[in-house]
Amino acid sequence: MEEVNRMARHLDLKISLAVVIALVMYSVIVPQITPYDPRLWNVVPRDKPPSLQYPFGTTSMGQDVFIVTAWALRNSLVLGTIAAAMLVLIAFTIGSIAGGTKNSIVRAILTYLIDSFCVIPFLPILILIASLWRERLGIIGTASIIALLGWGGQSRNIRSVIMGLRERTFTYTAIFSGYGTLKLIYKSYLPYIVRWLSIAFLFGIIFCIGLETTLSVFGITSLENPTIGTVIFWTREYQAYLRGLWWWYTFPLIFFIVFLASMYVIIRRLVARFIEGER
Amino acid sequence: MADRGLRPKPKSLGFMATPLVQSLIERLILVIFTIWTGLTISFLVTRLSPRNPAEQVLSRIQGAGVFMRPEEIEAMRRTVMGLFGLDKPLWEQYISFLQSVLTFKFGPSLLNFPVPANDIISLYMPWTIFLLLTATIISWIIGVVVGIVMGIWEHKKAVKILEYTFITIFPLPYVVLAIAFLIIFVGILRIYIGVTIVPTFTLSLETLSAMFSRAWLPALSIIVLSIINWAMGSLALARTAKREPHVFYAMVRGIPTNLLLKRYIGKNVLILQVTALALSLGGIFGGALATEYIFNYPGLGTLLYNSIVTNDFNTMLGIITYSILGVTIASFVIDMVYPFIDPRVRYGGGE
Repeated sequence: MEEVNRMARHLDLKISLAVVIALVMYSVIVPQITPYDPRLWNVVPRDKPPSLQYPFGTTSMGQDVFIVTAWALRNSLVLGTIAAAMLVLIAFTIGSIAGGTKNSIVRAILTYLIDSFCVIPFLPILILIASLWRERLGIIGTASIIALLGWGGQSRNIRSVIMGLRERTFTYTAIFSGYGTLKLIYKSYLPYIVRWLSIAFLFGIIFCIGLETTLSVFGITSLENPTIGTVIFWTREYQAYLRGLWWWYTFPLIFFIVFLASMYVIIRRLVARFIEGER
Repeated sequence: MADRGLRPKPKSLGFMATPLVQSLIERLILVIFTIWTGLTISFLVTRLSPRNPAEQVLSRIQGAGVFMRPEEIEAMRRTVMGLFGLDKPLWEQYISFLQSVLTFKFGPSLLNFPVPANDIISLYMPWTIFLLLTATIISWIIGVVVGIVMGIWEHKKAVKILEYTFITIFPLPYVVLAIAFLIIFVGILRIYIGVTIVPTFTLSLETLSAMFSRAWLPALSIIVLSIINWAMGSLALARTAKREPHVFYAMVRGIPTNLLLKRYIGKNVLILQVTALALSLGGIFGGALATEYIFNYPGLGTLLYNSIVTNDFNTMLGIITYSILGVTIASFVIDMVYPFIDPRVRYGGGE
């Protein structure tokens, strides 16, 4: 009985981890073993429902949904990861200086910079920039724009985390027992902040993938290189919903939803364990 | 937490300002600076664009088949450039943009040349407000109640199932959900969702019913996702509230669930969710770009999208200005009202 209980503990976390790993492997391996470039059009018959040869059917552009989904998931993941890494880096740099500095002028300026980036309407400006330079923005370009415009909210969080740390009792204990500033940061703050940052990073991946999907649905990213968003764009463009080509949108969407949900379950568990201190 | 009241009061600015007036002035200055920065960033982004809206007006006039001599075209170009203020150096354009923000006159719209951008915006504004106000308030009420109830009976099986349903939908980007709604309602159920009606707003039953017939599906999609948002937030807050010693004591003492619901957990959750509601109400003036685009709803979001893709910078900056004003003013009002709602917060307290 105890065995069963231990197995059932954090069952959702275990399932989610397995799902995420499986999906990442699917998205990495499948494009590697295809005989042709997954970006090419008209390589298989069009509009075929799922069969043994094409397990997820084919699109109106003559692509195998099984391969396109893998490639799109891979691109979305790469973009989300790059964007989230840059976003967290910017947010952490500015947020930690704003929260940690003793210089009140620097603090005031950075705080108000953060506030300003929180109020600019994010999506319209992103759409404007993306629509202006769509031809030249690859995955990295889109990722950097998302990061450059979107760091405000995270930065605000990090700032308040750092400010909260400074007020904690253990800070005073450390200072009174003779810790220098550097030692204080490395010994007491860093373990806490690293946990916090990795959670922010995982959240950032969900956030950035969502933004890229939104942009692609508007049709303003480079549409030849499929991401989950551009797959949705093309299904809209070819009226797949009205023409009954359910396999074209169902499989990519299910994979996408399952991936995001699993990521979110993992994040919730991490938050409960490391931030809220649940055993 | 307990030692917060014991900390020495921050030194005042010297003269006899009460904490209220002092923090009011400080916050107001900060708000003005924030608005200014937001506007400046938006302005600079539009001017980075290599496309020239005046050229587009010209080519449209020429495209209509009007014959003009080259010098006439040149004269016309100068007039149109002057109308849009594009013949001046960048800093002069910037100053006149700031002036236009102060007077709410954003110049002619390009998309609907020569109608002033502000007229167009005020035409679409009621539609957006109707959609987002109803959707936000309905979803807030349902979501907060659901969240609190889930927080109280969190170990029930039904609540667990509901929570995992929410967890699946919560991280989805809104566009995916909206498209799922389109697939279900239009693709599968084949329900008529109305056509674009030219939005002239008068306060009559007819207009309101026209609005409703266009707005119900987009509103429903927003409501579903927002209910989940609010419920997840309230659930987390309720869990935090439950861990507080006085609530825990009350639960151990066995007070009626009704009272626990209202006084101990409900109050703690409501305090924070009311401010969040005010913030999201401030956010409705920018329109819901994704919603309105996907459902083809005639509101500010659609207008904004159209103005972006056609380089109608006056209209675009006009809408962005309203949106920035809405968000900053809402958060300013919250900051000022908050101490009345939550006695633990004081003016000028903390940093």
